[in-house]
Amino acid sequence: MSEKPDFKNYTLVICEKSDAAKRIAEALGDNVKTIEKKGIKIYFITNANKKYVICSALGHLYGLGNYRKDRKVYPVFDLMWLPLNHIDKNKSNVHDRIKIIEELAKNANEFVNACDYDVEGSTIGFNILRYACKVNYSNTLRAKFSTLTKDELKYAFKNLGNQIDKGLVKAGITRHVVDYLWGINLSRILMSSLQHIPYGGGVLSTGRVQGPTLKFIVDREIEIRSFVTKPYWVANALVEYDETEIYASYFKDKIMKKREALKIKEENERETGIVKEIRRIKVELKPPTPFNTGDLQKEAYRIFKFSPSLTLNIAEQLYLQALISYPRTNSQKLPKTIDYYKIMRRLSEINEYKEETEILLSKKLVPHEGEKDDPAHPCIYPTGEIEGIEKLNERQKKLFDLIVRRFLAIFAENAIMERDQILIDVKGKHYWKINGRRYIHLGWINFYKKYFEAEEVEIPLFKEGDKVLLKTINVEEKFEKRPPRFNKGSLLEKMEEENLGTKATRAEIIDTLYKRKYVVGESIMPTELGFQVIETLSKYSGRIISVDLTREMEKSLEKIELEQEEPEDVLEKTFYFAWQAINDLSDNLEKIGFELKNAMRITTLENKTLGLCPMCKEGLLVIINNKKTKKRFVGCTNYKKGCSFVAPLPQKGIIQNTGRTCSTCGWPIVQVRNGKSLWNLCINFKCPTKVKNKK
Amino acid sequence: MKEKVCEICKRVGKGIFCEYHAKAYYNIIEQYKYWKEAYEELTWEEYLTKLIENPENGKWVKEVAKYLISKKMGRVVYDD
Repeated sequence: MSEKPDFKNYTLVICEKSDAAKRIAEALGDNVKTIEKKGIKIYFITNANKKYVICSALGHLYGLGNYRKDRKVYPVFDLMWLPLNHIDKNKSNVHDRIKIIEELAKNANEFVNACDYDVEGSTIGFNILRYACKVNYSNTLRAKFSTLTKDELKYAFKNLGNQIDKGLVKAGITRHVVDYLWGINLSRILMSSLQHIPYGGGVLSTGRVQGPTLKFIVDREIEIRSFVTKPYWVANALVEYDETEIYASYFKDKIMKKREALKIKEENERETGIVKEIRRIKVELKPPTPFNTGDLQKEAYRIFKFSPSLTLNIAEQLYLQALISYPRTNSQKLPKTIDYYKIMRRLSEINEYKEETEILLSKKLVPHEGEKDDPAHPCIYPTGEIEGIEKLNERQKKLFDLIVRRFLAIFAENAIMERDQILIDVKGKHYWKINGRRYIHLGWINFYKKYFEAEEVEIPLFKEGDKVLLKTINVEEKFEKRPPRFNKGSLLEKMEEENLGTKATRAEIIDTLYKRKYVVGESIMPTELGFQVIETLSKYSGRIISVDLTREMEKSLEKIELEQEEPEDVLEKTFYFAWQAINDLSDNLEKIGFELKNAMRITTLENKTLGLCPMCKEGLLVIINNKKTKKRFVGCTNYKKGCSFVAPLPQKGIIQNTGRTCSTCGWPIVQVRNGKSLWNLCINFKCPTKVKNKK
Repeated sequence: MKEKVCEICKRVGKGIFCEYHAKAYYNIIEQYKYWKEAYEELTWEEYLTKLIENPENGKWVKEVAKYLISKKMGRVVYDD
């Protein structure tokens, strides 16, 4: 670190994160001097024409709040932007950062917002420029880039625009105000309802997107719990042809009557059938489309079981290392300006992609793009930067590989699959079908085979008129499957379909549902509390969880972003609906409090009850907190009748009931979360799996 | 209508069942005709027993089926 250079009349560049500031500094000049003040790095750059000072925020430095100390008060409509350290005690480091930026702004004669080019980034930069730098936004410049590569950053700073993100700023400010008014007022009412009853208290929240999202989960659970299956039968025949045996299925996929199924068996077993028809269909499978945020999150969940928020987090790390483009985007299109060949050539320097990239480089590169577009950013693609790739951790490597292979696949040819269907006639009364499937050209699958299974079904070469023997007929009773529960990937998809939340907020909202104990499990199930929150809100103010209302708001916010609508209309609607909801709920506070508190108790109890005691087989295993020692352990409710079951538990972290038992010893499994670590634990410390591990 | 307590879960409802168990009850009734057509000979009790045993059926469906068996309810009306 060198001393602070004597700098004046420079361009002050505000970045969103420190990694981005470093990359921008490196791109803008070779003569970079770095000083560190209170742990914050500031870069001073002089090149032939200009002087730059680059500093970074820490995400948002300002947030919405009010100066009323009593957090129980509602309604709250007198909001203002405040430094985050005034709102959240844990954000004390924001104070120093704002002071440093204020200081740097004094000697600057030009200001650049170089935060991420999206709604949040524009809002972050806008607030810093108007409050810390005390400049009018119309007199500042905006840098627009989608990757942190030197070339793109240089280009962005040569082509700085004035107020090019006006729509983004307006949409960002409006979204914050709408969500703040909605969230703070309704969450405070829910919390306050708990204070109205004896021994009340606890943390509850709802929000403009959170409520409708929870409602999807609750509605699906209602469907599952009240589901009555229907029986049906399927018939399969073991067919002998040309000394080979193959299975054929009855032409009706579902036989709805048992008697009919048994009749099929009776009339076909040991009978000879004739190949009546051979159908061959060629199907062309187009390459996948480039990743946008949602597609990447769904694919990473399908393949690696990464939660949507984890995927976004890792993608953000890869972006800050300039390895991939900006990961918060709706676009399924590649930018027209990038050089595909250059990226491919760089990727070919990595051994794993050498073979595939060489094949692609020998052809004309035409990407198969999707329909969706985003005015701010292109799809997610590898930038071709490979420096530091060897230092990636396992998760980063996995996600990077997925993004690269997807990128390669979109330039490849269509895959061609041939489907054969053989129709077998038995006495002109019964028909059986044999289905075959093979790929005659793998095309893009060759580039994406690690993540796509091209399953083939080989069948013999039949000719029309051939005779086959139906050796045995197997009739199987089946039942219709109940609807599946959402997982994090499918819930994200549903939110996208229903236009709830944004690419940047959806994953966080799903996480909040878990934090509030509204839902549990990988296969997402609402808790009693989750059920009750929806039931109570529906009963007393259905508008709060209305998907239509939220969707309408989202559309308006998108229109503001495109400068097709003004924020005032949306804000007016928000005030109106929030005010109505506050009135509806305030009239029933005591009832709401009782309903929610009761559900909270049941949820806590559900989480503490781990299942039947494996020792006495009568009592229930429960998590007990010893009031004297403050330690927790698992005990049996039958202890007064002599059951001595006791199992230790980790004393740190949050313990969740998984509802599952250990496949080896049959004892319950709990989930332990300590900081960022999360693991499943069989509560039996003598479980053979643990003993084996110790050896 | 006067509020009552659900016979199964004690949640407040408008009949003998709460809103959720009532939904399960209606589904049980609704699907009986399919089950009867499928098996041809299937009494109301046999149907309810099959519902309890089948893992695809929902939790509330099983609870209602158990309740109906224990109270011998529905037979006269639905076993035609």
